[in-house]
Amino acid sequence: MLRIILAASIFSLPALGFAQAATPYDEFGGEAGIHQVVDDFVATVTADPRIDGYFAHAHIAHLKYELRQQFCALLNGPCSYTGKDMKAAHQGMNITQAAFNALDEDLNAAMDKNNVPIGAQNYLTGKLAPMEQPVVTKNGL
Amino acid sequence: MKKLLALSAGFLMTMLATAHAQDEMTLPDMVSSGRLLATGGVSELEGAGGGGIVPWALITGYGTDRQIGGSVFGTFADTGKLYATDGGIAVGLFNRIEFSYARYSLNLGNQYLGVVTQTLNHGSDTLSENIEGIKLRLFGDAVYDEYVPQVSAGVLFQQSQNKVLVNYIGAQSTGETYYLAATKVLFDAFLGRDVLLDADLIETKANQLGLLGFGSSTDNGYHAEFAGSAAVLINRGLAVGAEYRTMPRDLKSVGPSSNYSDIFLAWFPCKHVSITGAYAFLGDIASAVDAPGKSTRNQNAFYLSAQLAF
Repeated sequence: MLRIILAASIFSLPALGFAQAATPYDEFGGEAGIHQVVDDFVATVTADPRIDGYFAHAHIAHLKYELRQQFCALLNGPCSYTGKDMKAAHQGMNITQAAFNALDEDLNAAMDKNNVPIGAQNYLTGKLAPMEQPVVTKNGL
Repeated sequence: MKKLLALSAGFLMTMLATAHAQDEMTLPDMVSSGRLLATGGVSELEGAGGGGIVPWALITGYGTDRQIGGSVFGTFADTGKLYATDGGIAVGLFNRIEFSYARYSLNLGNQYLGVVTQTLNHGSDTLSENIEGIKLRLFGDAVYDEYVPQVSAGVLFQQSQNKVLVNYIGAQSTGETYYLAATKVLFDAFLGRDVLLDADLIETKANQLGLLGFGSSTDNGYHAEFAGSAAVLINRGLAVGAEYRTMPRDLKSVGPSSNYSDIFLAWFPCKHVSITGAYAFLGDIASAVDAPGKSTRNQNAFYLSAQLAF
């Protein structure tokens, strides 16, 4: 009897909302979803007058490749990021907090456009926030 | 306080000159609201950047560490018997230091303590105080740091505008409140939402946040009080939360202040506007001098606050 109740409980868990939660990677729509978010994201930042100057000499195709790898890895997808670390990648670029945040706002817009669920958006933002320290080198007080 | 303001003006000019000399940063750059939406908080009753009744470690406005931010606010709260009006202005320099000014008033509704107040207060039944505040971010960033919270220390210089009444009930008409605040944003922390947590340690003598003066005839010492806030960001521009703040309870002549608490909904349609609605539990206001049938116990207020910021 106990076994039947247990079995019934386990099978009814999904109905109660305790289903195996989708990973942030799945919520982004996997590889294809990340590809589209990165395309939209890069299109937005390179057209954003606040920060487009930082991308004036960027190799856009390479940038998109690195971002796809990095986002996929940060979202626990089946990839590993093999590019430079954040400090080395942004050295000498004189990035300010305002520029870092403008980029985050552009990423939000790209995720919104692709209907990424808010939990997965916040998950990725939470992974990117600590990168302010190695990325932003033009500080004030 | 005039010295403080002069100091801050000097500090500001020096920083502006330095920033300008270093890389010719333009004025529009310096005021372009480079921080993320809602990260300036709203304006609390004493005028500091915070929640509604709790000062937070966040520096008001949207200035980054190379920018200047600021805010103005107006707040109205009504218990049905008493109502409060509050307004002020604050600036945040380089996401490091905040200066604020607020004028906070409580209308006693022409009864209870109001009758005494009217007699001693040139016919007015309103208690008012001016509050000048300074807050320094000591370390940490609530958003960028993974584990360390943003920690700030602040002082509120408070001046009751009802000296005769306040002295009559055994309190001082001026006082300072000192606080240490720690604020942290946690990403994807509750049902996928970001969460803001704040905890404050407060040293104060203020009765009803200073509206009924500071200290009492039986106790003129500082009291260690605690305040805390928790908010869930339903989306980037909408926060729902609750706050709690303990109060010194030794003003026996009028009745001890109760601890305050509230539940709130704050809406940030853009970086330049926020609107906060709350229901605040203010407890007993002047329970020792209530006239029969006219109780000021258990006062709950509808609270509405609007802030403009950059």
